[in-house]
Amino acid sequence: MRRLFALSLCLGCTQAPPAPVDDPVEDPVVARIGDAVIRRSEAERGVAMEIHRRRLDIHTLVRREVEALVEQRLLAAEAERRGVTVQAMLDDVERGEPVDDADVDAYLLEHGLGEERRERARDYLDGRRRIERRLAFVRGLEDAAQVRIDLEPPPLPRVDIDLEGAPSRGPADAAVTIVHFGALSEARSREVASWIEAVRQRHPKKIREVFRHVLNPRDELGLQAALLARSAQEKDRFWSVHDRLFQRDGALRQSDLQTLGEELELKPVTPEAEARTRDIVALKGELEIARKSGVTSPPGIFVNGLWVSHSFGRARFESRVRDALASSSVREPTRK
Amino acid sequence: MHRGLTLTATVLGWMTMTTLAVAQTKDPRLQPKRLSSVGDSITEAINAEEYNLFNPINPNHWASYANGYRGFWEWLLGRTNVNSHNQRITSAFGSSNRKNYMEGVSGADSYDLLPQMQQSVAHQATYVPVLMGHNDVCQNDFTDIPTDAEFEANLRAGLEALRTGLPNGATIYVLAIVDIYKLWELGEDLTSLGLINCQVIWAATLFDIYPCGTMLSPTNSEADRQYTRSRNLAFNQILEDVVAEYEANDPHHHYSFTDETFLYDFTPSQVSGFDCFHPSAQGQKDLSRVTWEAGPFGQ
Repeated sequence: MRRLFALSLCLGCTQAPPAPVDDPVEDPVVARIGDAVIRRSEAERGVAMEIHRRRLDIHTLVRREVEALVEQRLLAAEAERRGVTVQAMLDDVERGEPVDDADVDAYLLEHGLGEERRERARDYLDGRRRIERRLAFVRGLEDAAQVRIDLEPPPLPRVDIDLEGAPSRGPADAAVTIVHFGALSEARSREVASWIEAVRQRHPKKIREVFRHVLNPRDELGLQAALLARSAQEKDRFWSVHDRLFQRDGALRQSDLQTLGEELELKPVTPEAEARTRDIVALKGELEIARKSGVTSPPGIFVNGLWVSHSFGRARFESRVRDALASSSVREPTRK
Repeated sequence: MHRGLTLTATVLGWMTMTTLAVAQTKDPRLQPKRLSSVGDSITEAINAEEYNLFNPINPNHWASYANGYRGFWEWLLGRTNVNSHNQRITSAFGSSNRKNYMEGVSGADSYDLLPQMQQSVAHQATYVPVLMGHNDVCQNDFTDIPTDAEFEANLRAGLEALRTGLPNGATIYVLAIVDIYKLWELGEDLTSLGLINCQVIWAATLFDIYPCGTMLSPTNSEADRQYTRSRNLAFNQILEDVVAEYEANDPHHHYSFTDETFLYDFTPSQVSGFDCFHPSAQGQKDLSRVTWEAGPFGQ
């Protein structure tokens, strides 16, 4: 099976996962096939994003617990020092002068609120002032005790994406492989396609683009486009469909698919039920790869196996590509 | 949409007169086959696992903790099976005569309890899970948050509609408002970890579409967010107290409350990867599990 991990490893990316070592503690053998073995790390790479999410969940739970423990202990120690209960101490800390009319007037003026909001504004300002006193008190205890929390979140993993049979373009031995999980009907996927095209133009010999389908729910046109693209792939014309659909103006229409299918002499866009069912089941397998890679909706981007969220914008994507290119050039001498 | 206080002397009179009259006996509990959920965007499972750029209010009803189901698209896309109350009811009580109504609407707040619960009555529901109040604490301005008296009056108005209109033996199950401070906190985590830029998303969508400046505004201080959380807590106390009162006084219906929804420790995988605020399908799945197990049919 052709895997991105194998590719990135052989190209010597700096952040590639380490090669399996004979370490029964850190990386135990979890299965044997005759003399061959499967190690835990090998299995984990395929579901790295899912594992990462769970590690983040654990990290979050532990961090919250640590923060709560720190606060509890600080408050308990201070209350003991003062010879009162924690609650009595906090009540005392929160007590103070209530807000005056001038404060309320200023708030109403600043927020363009009428007189009918006066009492609610007073409640809010009073409540906030009490909370500010408590927060400042706790911060003071933390500073005095020189609290330091040594918990690091788990690093973003490098995902081993199954690329078997996926359409790709660019050198097979490119330094950087960008996997785009996209929907051919979708505006954000179109945007990502344009980002990838721009970096491919700049580094034609160093970047390989791979496309995997992922769909939005109830996107019938997206589903038809994906089926059409799979049909095109059988005739080695996937990228014609990809580029034509992503370079169109406006929303995708049924007639766009019909025209494209006829031009490229592909299967009918709306085939008979039996053929459609067969194609859908095949597509389902591809969508499972997206899900397993941690992508549940378009677009999803991986640069040498590292996730880049579309929400951070083009600059973050290009920065990730630059990092990958730099890593590969740093490692190149050692490869030779 | 806001209506005035509706607490009436009639209701108070009924409460006083029946407190002693209701002994330990209640009408037998009906099977929860006619489900009618009351709530807001969380009940609608907005952006739980699916998102539409052109419609940022994207209900994922299939992923609702209350009404969720599994159809063709959910199978094709390998969506999370939330094992909702609806699915659990079919498993436990059979599929005959099942009804699965969702009265919940995104943006609804306590002022919508009455109209939604009137819909539950119109549907002659035998099981009404209620998860409402997030949009009472989520407001543009802190002074938009209702007072305790207003919130309580809205709740009583809705419960009165249920008391007088639901079939005898029906169950009303009120869930505490989720701790939205925890959801905000997770958005911060997701951004700092580089998984998704929540601040950008909140700025681009949430402030226009699901206003929650009282928690999500970047200008908020920690004290502001803690103040909003204090209103979250106060409303939950009202929910608990009023539900207990109805349970004690209404011999014909069964009322329960759980604070599991508030206490639940949401983690990054349980918050929407699209809006960084609503529970994800995994979050909905856990909401379904904890609320079902803590509820009247979970034992």
